[in-house]
This record gives sequence, structure tokens and C-alpha cells, in this order.
Amino acid sequence: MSLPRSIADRVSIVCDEAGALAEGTAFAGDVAAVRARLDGALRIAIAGRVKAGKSTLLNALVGERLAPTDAGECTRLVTWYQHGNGYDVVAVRADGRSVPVPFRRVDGALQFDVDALQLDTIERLVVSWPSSALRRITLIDTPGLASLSVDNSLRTSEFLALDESRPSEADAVIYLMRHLHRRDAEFLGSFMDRSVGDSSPVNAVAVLSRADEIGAGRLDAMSSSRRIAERYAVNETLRTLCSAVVPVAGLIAEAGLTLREDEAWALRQLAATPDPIRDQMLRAVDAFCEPDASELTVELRRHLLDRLGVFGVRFCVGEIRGQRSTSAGELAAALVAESGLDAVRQLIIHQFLPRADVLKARTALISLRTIAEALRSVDVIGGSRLAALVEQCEASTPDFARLRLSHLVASRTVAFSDDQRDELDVLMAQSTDVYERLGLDRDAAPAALHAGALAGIERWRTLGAAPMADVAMREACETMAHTYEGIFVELHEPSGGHV
Amino acid sequence: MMMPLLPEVPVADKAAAVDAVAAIAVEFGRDDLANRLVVAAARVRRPATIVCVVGEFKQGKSSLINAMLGLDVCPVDDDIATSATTLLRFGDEPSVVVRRRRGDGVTVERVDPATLADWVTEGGNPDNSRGVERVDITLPHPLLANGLVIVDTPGMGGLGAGHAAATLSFLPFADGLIFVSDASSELSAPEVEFLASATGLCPNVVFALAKIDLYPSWRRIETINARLLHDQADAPVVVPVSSVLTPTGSELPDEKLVEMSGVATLLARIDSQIVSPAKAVAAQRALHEALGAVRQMKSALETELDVLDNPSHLAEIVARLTESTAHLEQLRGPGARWSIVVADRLSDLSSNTGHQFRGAMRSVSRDIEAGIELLKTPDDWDQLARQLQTSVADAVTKVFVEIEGGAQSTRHAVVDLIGEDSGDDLSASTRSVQVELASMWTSRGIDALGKRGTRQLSSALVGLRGAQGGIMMFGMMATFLPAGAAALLMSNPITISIGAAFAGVQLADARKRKIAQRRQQARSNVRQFLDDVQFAVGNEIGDALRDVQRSIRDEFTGRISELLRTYAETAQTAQRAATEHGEFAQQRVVALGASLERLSLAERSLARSSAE
Repeated sequence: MSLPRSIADRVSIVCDEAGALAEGTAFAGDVAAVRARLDGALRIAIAGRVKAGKSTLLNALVGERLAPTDAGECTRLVTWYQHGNGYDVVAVRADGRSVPVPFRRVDGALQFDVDALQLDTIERLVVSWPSSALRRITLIDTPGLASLSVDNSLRTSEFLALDESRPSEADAVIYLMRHLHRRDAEFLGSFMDRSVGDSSPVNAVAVLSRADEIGAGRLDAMSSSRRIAERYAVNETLRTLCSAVVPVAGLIAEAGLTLREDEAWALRQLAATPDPIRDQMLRAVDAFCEPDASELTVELRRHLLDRLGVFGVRFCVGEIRGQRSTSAGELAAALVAESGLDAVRQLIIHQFLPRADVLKARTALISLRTIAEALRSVDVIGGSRLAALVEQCEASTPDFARLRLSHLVASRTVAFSDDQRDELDVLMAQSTDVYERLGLDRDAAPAALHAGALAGIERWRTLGAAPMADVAMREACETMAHTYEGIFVELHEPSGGHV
Repeated sequence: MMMPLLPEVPVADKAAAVDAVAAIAVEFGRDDLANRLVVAAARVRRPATIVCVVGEFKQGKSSLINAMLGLDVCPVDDDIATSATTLLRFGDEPSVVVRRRRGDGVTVERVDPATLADWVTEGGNPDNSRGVERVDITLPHPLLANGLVIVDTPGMGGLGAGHAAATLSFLPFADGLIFVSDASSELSAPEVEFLASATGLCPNVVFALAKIDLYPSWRRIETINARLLHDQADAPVVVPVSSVLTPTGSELPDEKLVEMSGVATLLARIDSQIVSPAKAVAAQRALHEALGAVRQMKSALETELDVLDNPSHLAEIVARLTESTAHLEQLRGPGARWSIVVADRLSDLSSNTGHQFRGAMRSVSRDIEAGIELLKTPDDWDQLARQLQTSVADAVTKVFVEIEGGAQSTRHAVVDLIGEDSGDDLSASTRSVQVELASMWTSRGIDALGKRGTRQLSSALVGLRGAQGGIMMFGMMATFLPAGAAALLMSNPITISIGAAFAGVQLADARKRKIAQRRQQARSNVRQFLDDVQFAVGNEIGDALRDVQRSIRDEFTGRISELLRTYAETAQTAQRAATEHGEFAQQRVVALGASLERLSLAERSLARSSAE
């Protein structure tokens, strides 16, 4: 059987077969769900401890104030934010049935009216919202871990459960952490892995959140937090868990993306206040809201603080006074730039989205394998056939082997030297340019290409056959050798026909 | 410079009364009694009251201490945190002394205050790699002059730090606790848990809700926290504070901001709940000591007066004094019963505590090793690491509690023995006055605890507050316990299964082997850790017991010497008096009458003060 080259198409075919095999059984619905997930957007979960700023970051990524944020713990249910043509919120219950949830918007944020529902029967809320930011990704807000309400913590743990036979509901994870103890970074490993079950440096990044509050909201807060993030990023343990650590001031980003002209006006008024009075006001929130301190109403000042925080107000006043930005548009841009949000977006674009197909296909196959197992109990032949198909697809798709290799190397399960890691990066690059992948100059002779590929095969075969190599190392070497073989085959069959 | 001052204390008069008696003692040539009273009066003004500042990592503990002092003492940084226990107390000169545990020994060295950050922060001393057990800072500061001793602790955030267990084990030895949590979010589960345990161990817990300058919704957080702590029997008092609003250094104070900062409220609370009661107790004891001294001096004068009036009494008096002196000389000698009893009791205490501690360590080791085999989930590993920390902390606390208890009962036994051996003179004077075991740490009455704490503490813990052993133990545990958690968690096999689904099913076998390896490694790590603890604690037990023995000896020998001097001088003056005649004797009678009048006056005033 000739398989299509694209991984999505290959898995899609298995899915079709599975649909046919499961038709009329209790598992038809499960297969349909797998199909939907395969065709749907990449699911990115935002996880972290309670009050880490998960909902705020989610709002910033959507560019709209959707998720309710509050001083107290407020996300009580796993909530999905996905693209939809209309505005719609439903609660999905544990038995799979959906119930519409009434909602209203208060100051932009959604307020779900879940009082009529039994919270413990609800698996998740699904918010469909027409937003361009949600076209390619679905964002999932989770209740905080180590939350005082045991139920909330449990919900998140269940959602992100570590279970080898069952795929996680999320394809990728953004893990939010607040400033940690130096030693805690070492222990983050065990914490993170239990919170974000099916994660690996290939699909997880860490965000140092509420960065504006580091250093008591001083104007240099962001550079201070960048330094801290850099320190974490080189931490050995963290490197085996996530590929990057970036600081983000979610509140600043959210405010920047939704800043209104009247708010900018109020900020300009503040900037125009005489220095001693303003300095006094900016010392503390209570001083800022002192009734006689300013012409602006106390309500308005409170509103500014809620929206921007102390750092945000200080930053905007500084911008206006330095005449770097004055209009709402300029202030908004400055806030977003300062917030570090762009770094998270870049990670999503460069890290998650290029791998989206492989990640989704992988989840689909794991689900299908489980379905095959279950199907076997009612239809031995059908179940076995599906299992074989899954097996075949997995074995014949080099992308999975490469994803696994990336994971093994990035998580330091196999110890590659720095040179070997560089070689891997070049070899696995998205590039289709053989010269580049083999690390050769463009004017190299065709014979050099052959020799390069052959040398690669030889080198990794030898390494893999070394007596000290463990299972993981053998697998890694094998994948490397296979990849060189692939290149060698390509050199001989320029048409690219791969069997 | 803005200096938050504590309000004037009423006990100052009592201290003055004691000082007055000391002055009389100097006049009467009894500098030995005077010295004791001067020390007692100093303790009334500066009773060592230990207040521990604890909280999760990066909540602003060091900043709060700086704000309380109005000085930048503790290093504060956005990123770098406090990594070693720091103790701030009064001293005439600023100084910094670092106590380190290197290998098997302990070194103590005086360092340049400018290099403090190199010793107590994660920057200069990452993971406490320099082995700092404790840093002692002395400062000539009015707040500390009241006897307040502030302990700045490394953040107890996360299991890795392991300071929660260390802090809890120290609380029986502390007078107060300032729990710091910032207003950025409500209390976390571990924080609530800690507070629940802490309020049962320490009578004075204040919750400082920090950084209220930064969080607009701090009042909401305060309400939520109150709800979270609602179920607790003794919820701590909440004081919202902002350290940045209290100026440090040469900055000019702004009254309104200072009021907003809440630091003054916090200080007032510490004063009314901790320092003032401690002063009251110290005052009561000092008055008793002064009364004892007055009575000794009075009895000498009365004897002289008696001989002047009736020279025929001389022989009888001298005989009685000689007999008493002989008794005391015997008591002071190395063969005295009490001296042997002290030695015996302490050697018993030493072998008992040593034996118990070794036993406890062995059972901890057994439990943990058995536990390692049963571990399945990451939570189990955390649980076990926590169990390791608490059981080691419990065992160590128990040893030190036992030592303090043993020291007390030895003292009481000695008082009784001396009473039997010497008649009532000495025992009356020693019984009325509780004398300290060691230095400034034990400057307060042990008996009066019940009055200070509003809650009934378990009897085993009574009498520990301020004990030297506690500070010792705290530093040691803060150094050891993180290592304990590390011993387990570093070999946590769960990290192997990270991304298990990514790695593929093929690797399952290899993973199982590795997990078995990790378990093995965890076992040997734990064994090594317990071995280290046993060695270090064993040494400390030895030191602590030697200190106890020395202080009991010094105390009683001192008292005996005082009485001996009283007897000797009385005998002398009595003999001289018997030879006096005529006008000179008349004058002497008048002078003695005046002196006795003065002493009686002092006695009455002391008794009155004491009754108030």
C-alpha cells in the first residue's frame, strides 16, 4: 500500500478506517472525537499554580478580556476557548452531554452563570468565540494547582493526567510559574511533570509570570525579571522539562491590548499632576486612591490600578512624561512591547505550530490504539485490524521517530554531546535542502553528498552498536541513521517517491 | 532618621528600684550582690525575646525587618533570596559573626558587616554552599535595646527548602512569630497548614500581610485569607504592612505614608504582646533577687546591732556562723552531694538522650527505607520527603526539649539538696529566685509562662522559650533538613517518566530498571543523610550538656560564695562590735539603725512593687 507523504493525511486514513470498523459500535463516538481533534486547532493548555496569572495571560493571547480574572482564585473549571462563528458557552458533562451555559460580560470579562449546574458533574466549559487569535489554536484555562479547594486542584490534575495509555487533552503546554526559590527550580521537575502530564521539552515552555510585580513594581521590573528568566533557562533540570523560559507581565499585555482612550486620558491627567503630589500617589495603592490626592475620581483611579497595576500606571506616566507615547494607541503599543507577550507568541509560532501536525497526529494514534484495544472486546477481528493499522502507521512514519528523538535528546534521556546535538538540529531542520541538512557547502560535489549521507549512516550505526549504549541510546542512534538513509534515498530518487 | 520607637514601659520603675538596691549594696561594700542585681535590672530593660520572621520565599521578610529597624541591614534583592538564618540582637557595636558547619566541625568567625550578602544570600552563598548555620548580627539600635531578638529565616517555600519543618521545630523556643505573606494572592494550602501548626506551638503569631503598596485588592485578599483561616481555633492577628513606605536610612519620613505602612502597628503589637510581658516577668524576678539581697544585708546589720546591744550573744552567734560557714565550705568543695548529683544526673541525661536519639534515627531510617519501596506517584515521594524532614525535626526537638527539661529538674534537685544540707538560709534565697542556665538567652522566668500565653501549651514545651539550645537547633536544622528532602527528591524516579508517552512504549523496560536504580540510590542517600545528622546532633548534645553542667555549677557556687562572704563579714563585724564601748558604740548603733531603716524602706518598696 502506498502511503501519502503527509503525516496528517496518513493518520487521517487510519481514522477513516477506524470509523468504518467502529461503525455501529459504542466506539463510533470516540472515533469521531479523535477525528475532530485531528482536524481541529492545536490545543494549548495554560497550567500553573493558583494565582499564577493563567487567565490573564490567556486574555492577552486572545487580545480580549474573556476569561474572568479576580484577586481571589476564580477559575474553578477547566475552560476551553476555541474559535467559533458565533458566541456560545456550553458545559460538557462527564457523561459527554453538553448543556448551554448562560453568560454575560462584565467590563469585558465573561461571567458564567453555572449556579444552576452541578459543578462536580461538569468536565469542562467550552467557550466558542469569533476571534482570529483562536483560529489555529485552542487555549485551555485550568484551575490552579495547589489550590486550597481540593476539587479545583483535582480537576486540573485529572485534566493533565499522566497516563501513558491515554493522551493528554492538550497538545502543548504553557507552564506559568511565579518567581521561584533557587532550589525550587531543581524540584520543579517533579512538580511540573505531575501537573503537565504528557509534556516534554518539545511541547512545553515555561513562563515567568506576573513579571511586573517582581522588584516591587519598579520601572526596571521587566529587565529584572528577564535576568531571572535567563537564570532559569540555563537550569539543567528546567532544560529537560521545557525548551524556554520567558518573562511575561500578563496584566500589562492585557491592558495594552484593550486600552481605551478614556483610560489614556486619565493617565495623561496623572502625568500632568505636579511632581511631588504624583510621586506621593505612586508610592502605594492606598496613597493613589486617597480621595483628595487628585481631581480624578477615586473610582477611576481604582479602575486604572485594576487594569494596569502599580507598575503599569508608573510605566505609562513615565512614557507620557518622557513624551515617548501619549495617545491611547501609542501607550497600548508601548505596554504590549514592555509586557514580553511577543516572546510567548513567538514560541507558539515557532515552537508549537510547526509541530502541530505531528503533535496532533501523535495524540490521535494514541487514542486510536486505546480504541482498538476496547474494540477487540466486541469485535476481535476489527479491533486487531485497527491495532495493526495504528502500528503500521506509527512505524512507517519517520516524523514520530524524529519527535521521539527530539524528546529523548532534549529531555536528556539520552546523552548527546554538544556536537551531536548540533548535528541533530541541522539534520532535523524543517529545511528540504539536502546540502544544509548534511552541513555541506552549496558548491560541494554530488559525490560529497553521497559520502556525507553514507558517513552519517555508518557513524550512527557504530554508535548504536556500542556495548555501553542503552535502549534509549540505541533507538536514538537508529533514528539518526534512518534519517541519513532517508536522505541517501532522496539523493537517488529525486522525485521524492518514498515507499 | 525615622526611628520607630516602642512606647515607654511601666516596668522601668521596677528596674530603677532594683538599681537602687544595687547602689546600696555597693555602699555596703557588697559588690558581688550589686553585680548580680545590675545584671537582673539590665534584663528587665532588655529581656531577650525571640521573634521569628517566617514565610514563603520572596514575600518580603528581609524588607520587613529593614522597615522595622528603619535601617538597611538585611540584604534585599529582586532575584536573590536569603539563604541562611540570620539573628539580629542588641550590641554596643555593629558586628557580624558567622557560624559555619564545615565537614565535621563548626567554625565561628567575625566578618566585615559589608560582606553580609556573601554569607546570607543565594547570590553569595547559593544553596548555602558555604555551610552557614547561622549569622549573628549585633546592632546598637533602640528597637533591639528593648531586648527584641529578630530571626530572619530563609523562605520556606517549597519542599526543597525544608525550612517549614525547621521553623516549626524551633517555635517552642521562640516568643513570637511574624508570618509574612504578600497581598498578591490568597494563602496557599501549605501556608494555611503551616499557620495551623504554628499557632499551636507559639503563643504570639502575627500575620503580616505584606506589599500592600503594590496590590490594589489587598483588602479583598485580607478578607479571603480570614475566611481560609476561619476554621482555626486561634487565628493569628492580621497586620497589613508595606515595607517600602517606611523610609530607611536618611530619607525623610512622611507621616501619612508611615501610618499607611502599618509597621508601627506591627511594632506596637510586638511590644504589647511579647516584649512588655517579658519585661514584666523579668521585673518580677529581679525584685525577688533584690529582696533576697536586702535580706542578706539586713541580717548582717541586725546581727551587729544585736551584739552591740548584748555583747554576751557574741559567742553563740560566732558559733552559729562558724557552723554555717563550715557547712557552706563543704558544699562548695568538689565532694559536695549536690555536685555529685549534678554530674550523675547530667551523665544520665547524656546517655539517655543519646540512646533515644540513636533509636529514633534508626526507626526513621527503617520507616523511610520501607517507604521508598512502596512509592508509586510523585506525591508519594513528596510525602516521604516531608515525613523524613518532620521525623528528623521531631527527633531533634525532642532531644533538646529533654535536655532543657533535664537541666531544670537537676536545678530543682540541687536546690532541695542544698536545703537539706545547709538549713534554710541558702535554699530560701535560691528558691525565691530562678537563676538562668546560660547567658542572655535564658533571661526570663520559666514559671510565668502560663500568664503570658493565652493558650495552654503542652507541659513538655513549657520552659523552653529563649533557651539557647533552640537557636542552636534551629540553625542546624535549617542547614540539614533541605539536604534531607534533597536526598530523596533528587533521586525521584518520577522524573524518568516525564514525557513517557513521548519516549514510546519500547523504553518501558529500560525505565523500570532505572527506577529500581533510583530507589537504591535514594536509600543510600537517606542513610548518608541520617548519618550526618546523627553525627552533628551528637556533637551538639555533648556541647549543650557541658554548657548546662557548667552553668548550674557556676550558679550555685556563686550563691554559696555570696553567703560565705555574708557570714564571714558578719562574724568580723560582730567580733568588732563586741569590743566597742561608750560613745563610739552609741554612734554605731545610731548608724546601724539608719542603715537598717534604709534597707527596710527598700524592702517595703520592693515588696510593694512586686505586689503591683
